[in-house]
Amino acid sequence: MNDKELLATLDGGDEHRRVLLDRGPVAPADYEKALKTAKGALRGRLLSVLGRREEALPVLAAAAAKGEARAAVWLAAEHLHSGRLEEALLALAPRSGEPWAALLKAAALLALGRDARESLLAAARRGGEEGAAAAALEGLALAVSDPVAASARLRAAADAAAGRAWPLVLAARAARAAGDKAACLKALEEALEREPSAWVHIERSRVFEEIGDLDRALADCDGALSLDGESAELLARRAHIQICRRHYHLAEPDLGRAAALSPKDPQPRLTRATVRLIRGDLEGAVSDARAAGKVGGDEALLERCRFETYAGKLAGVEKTLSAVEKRRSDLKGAVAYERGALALKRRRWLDASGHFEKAAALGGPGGLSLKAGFHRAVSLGIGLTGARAEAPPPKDKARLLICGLGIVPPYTASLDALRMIAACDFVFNNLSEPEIGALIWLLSDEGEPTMFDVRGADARWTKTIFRRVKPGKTTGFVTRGHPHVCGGLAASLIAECRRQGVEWRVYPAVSSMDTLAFDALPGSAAFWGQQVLDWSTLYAPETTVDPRVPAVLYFNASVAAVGEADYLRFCDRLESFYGAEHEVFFYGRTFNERPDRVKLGALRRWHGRIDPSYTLLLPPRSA
Amino acid sequence: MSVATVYLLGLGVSPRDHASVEVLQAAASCRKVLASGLNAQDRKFLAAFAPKGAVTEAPAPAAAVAALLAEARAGRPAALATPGHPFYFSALGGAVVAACEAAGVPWKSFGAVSPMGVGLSAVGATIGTTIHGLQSFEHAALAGKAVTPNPVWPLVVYFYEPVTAASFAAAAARLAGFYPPEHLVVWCSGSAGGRRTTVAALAKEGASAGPDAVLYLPAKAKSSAALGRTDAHRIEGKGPAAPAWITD
Repeated sequence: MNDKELLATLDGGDEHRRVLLDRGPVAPADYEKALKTAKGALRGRLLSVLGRREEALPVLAAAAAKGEARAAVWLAAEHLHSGRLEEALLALAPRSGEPWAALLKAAALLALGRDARESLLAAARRGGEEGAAAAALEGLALAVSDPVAASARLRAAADAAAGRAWPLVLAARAARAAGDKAACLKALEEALEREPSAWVHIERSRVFEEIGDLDRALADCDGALSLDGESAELLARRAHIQICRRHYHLAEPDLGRAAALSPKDPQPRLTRATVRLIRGDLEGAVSDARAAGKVGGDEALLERCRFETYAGKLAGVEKTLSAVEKRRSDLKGAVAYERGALALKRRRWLDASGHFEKAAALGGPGGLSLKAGFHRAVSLGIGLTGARAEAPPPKDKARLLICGLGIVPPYTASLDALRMIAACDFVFNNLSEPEIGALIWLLSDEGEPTMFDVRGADARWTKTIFRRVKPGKTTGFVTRGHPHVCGGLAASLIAECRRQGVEWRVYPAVSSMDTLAFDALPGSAAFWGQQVLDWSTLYAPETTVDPRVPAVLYFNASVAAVGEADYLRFCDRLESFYGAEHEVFFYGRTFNERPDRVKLGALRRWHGRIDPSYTLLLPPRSA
Repeated sequence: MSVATVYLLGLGVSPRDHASVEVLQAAASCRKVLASGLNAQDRKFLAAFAPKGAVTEAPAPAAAVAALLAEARAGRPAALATPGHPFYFSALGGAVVAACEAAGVPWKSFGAVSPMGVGLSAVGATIGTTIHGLQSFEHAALAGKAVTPNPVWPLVVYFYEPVTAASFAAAAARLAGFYPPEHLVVWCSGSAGGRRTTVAALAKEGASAGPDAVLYLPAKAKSSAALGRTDAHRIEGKGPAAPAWITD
């Protein structure tokens, strides 16, 4: 890409996406190369597009002060993306005639809740993509008050910007916000047909991730990489999906290459440190965190302290924390948080609670108050109820403790579960979320990940876990939801415990069977009971479902193999209790997504399309 | 001044074991937490998380609803805390939600460990593997025939409505009419936790159950279903041999 082409992509060519899409496009690897020689406004713009906003702002401000072409508009865009709307308007004031200036102004005015008609008209008059972007912006502004008009404006934008993907991405977002996942994915499909590009693949990978379809999310990351080649951003994105899939061994090399491509950015190293931590590679995790600490300033030093804490390398942590506290008064809250983590690792529960309380009061970046509040509840909870914890097993007895961290881990973790983790000598963690791995490492000293899911392979994982079940030791298995709800591994582990004479205990947890009815039917008068069933039980003629209380129905691996005639028998049975017109809630692969509300009769058309992880909530017939 | 959120906090069947982190964190954000049905020890425990003096015994339902709404309207988050989950524990949770909806006050509830979850853990039964359905009924609803047990699923009975000798006896009588006298009953939690008894003996035990008590009764009849039982275990062909009393 020569300078002219580079300018074309950085200027108007990308601005519609920068203004209209809250996430900027993926930065091609060419931008990184161009940055090495770029100066003035161009350098500022490249830094901005590459997400290095703190560096971008002073460069752009200096260029704007010198009156460099485009600098003011790019500065305004940077302010806009950072939420500094008044500053954006101020920056634009002397440059209102430049390309994209009217559109930026309209975006800032709309975000401030002010009248943007004049600016929108000005942008529309410029025609081309800028005009199309104005139509789209107007459509987005109308999305809540008038969805039909919004859809028409977005369609007009798509027609006006023929061959371009971005209006369809906007339409996809509008559909997503309206809860229409099918229309969202269709629009993204069309966007990719129009303009195959990495950023649209990444956009779609985010949608697939949100709905829990991680294989397709990964395929889109691969698609983006095949189009744009390797960049730190794309590799980090693919690594993120691999982490969600719990394929940590595949995330590590991507993060390593991302770190090499972006050596001054501590984030790829910190993410790899987290992956290594989850895998039980504490030395590797600390090594990465220390490397990140060298390039990332005091914030990264605090991260380094935390990884040293996780790994039990506590010797120099307090010294580093004191040094940072002395240098940076704005990081006092973050320092208090790290002191809390240190106390938690040392099992000084109530001290930890005090530090976290202080951190929550002081606050800090990245939602520190909430994080500190969470850890305060953890440490105070364990501290106040420690007497209820399991005593260590006798020297000749092995013990296996099984717990779930609930439907939204780690926030739904019960005190039982936290005490259990703290009581274990070794913990198997079946959850991919980095914050869970981190919590487990604060509460225990040894562990490794497992990758069991609804599709099975319990015998294999039982064997793996039992390698660590030893006399005199307590081994733990931590999973999502309740271990006894669609959790074949818990059953397999218990059977093996019985066979080998191992002590075992399963702790109850906040499961989907406990929460779905609350979410869907708040305040219902029908909560004098509930039912939960595996779909297969309906084939038994003796089975009855009481339609006066809510029921949660789980599918399992067998639904993928059932023939159509048998599947329809299942539908017949369910309808015999509720009727085909009964409205039910259909949950996809993740409970984070809003369920589809469908008539029970609609299930008849879904043979072969139901994933084993899907769940159905049947409200009471009278509700 | 913006209106704050009213939280409905369920502390689970045994609050000092089952309270979740998010529930305790929400309590910490409230200067008014009305406790309904919590014993003195559990109230004291909850008070350690909330600001000083925030946790008090809930007044009569109408006054409790009014107090929570007034606090939220003053811009301060407020909470109702109960054992189990407020929607299941009593009618107060539903009344609070209805009042919030009517007044345009935001509200939020969280999941809680349920009697079903406690029952499954106590006996080591797994939905979808060793059992294929489970029903959980409040003792008074069971006694009053508001629900009908299914013979091929295990049954969980809990005690969130006030337990009297008469209500316990009526529930036990309903069970005796449905299950044979020697049918197994497991006390899963509470002061009798871990004890096994029979349906016939239960009737003689009298009212000894509170909100932390859960009963588990295995299925009455074996299911005849053959199709669809190809769950993860059976596909693998290495499923565990569960004791007969927890399978259907």
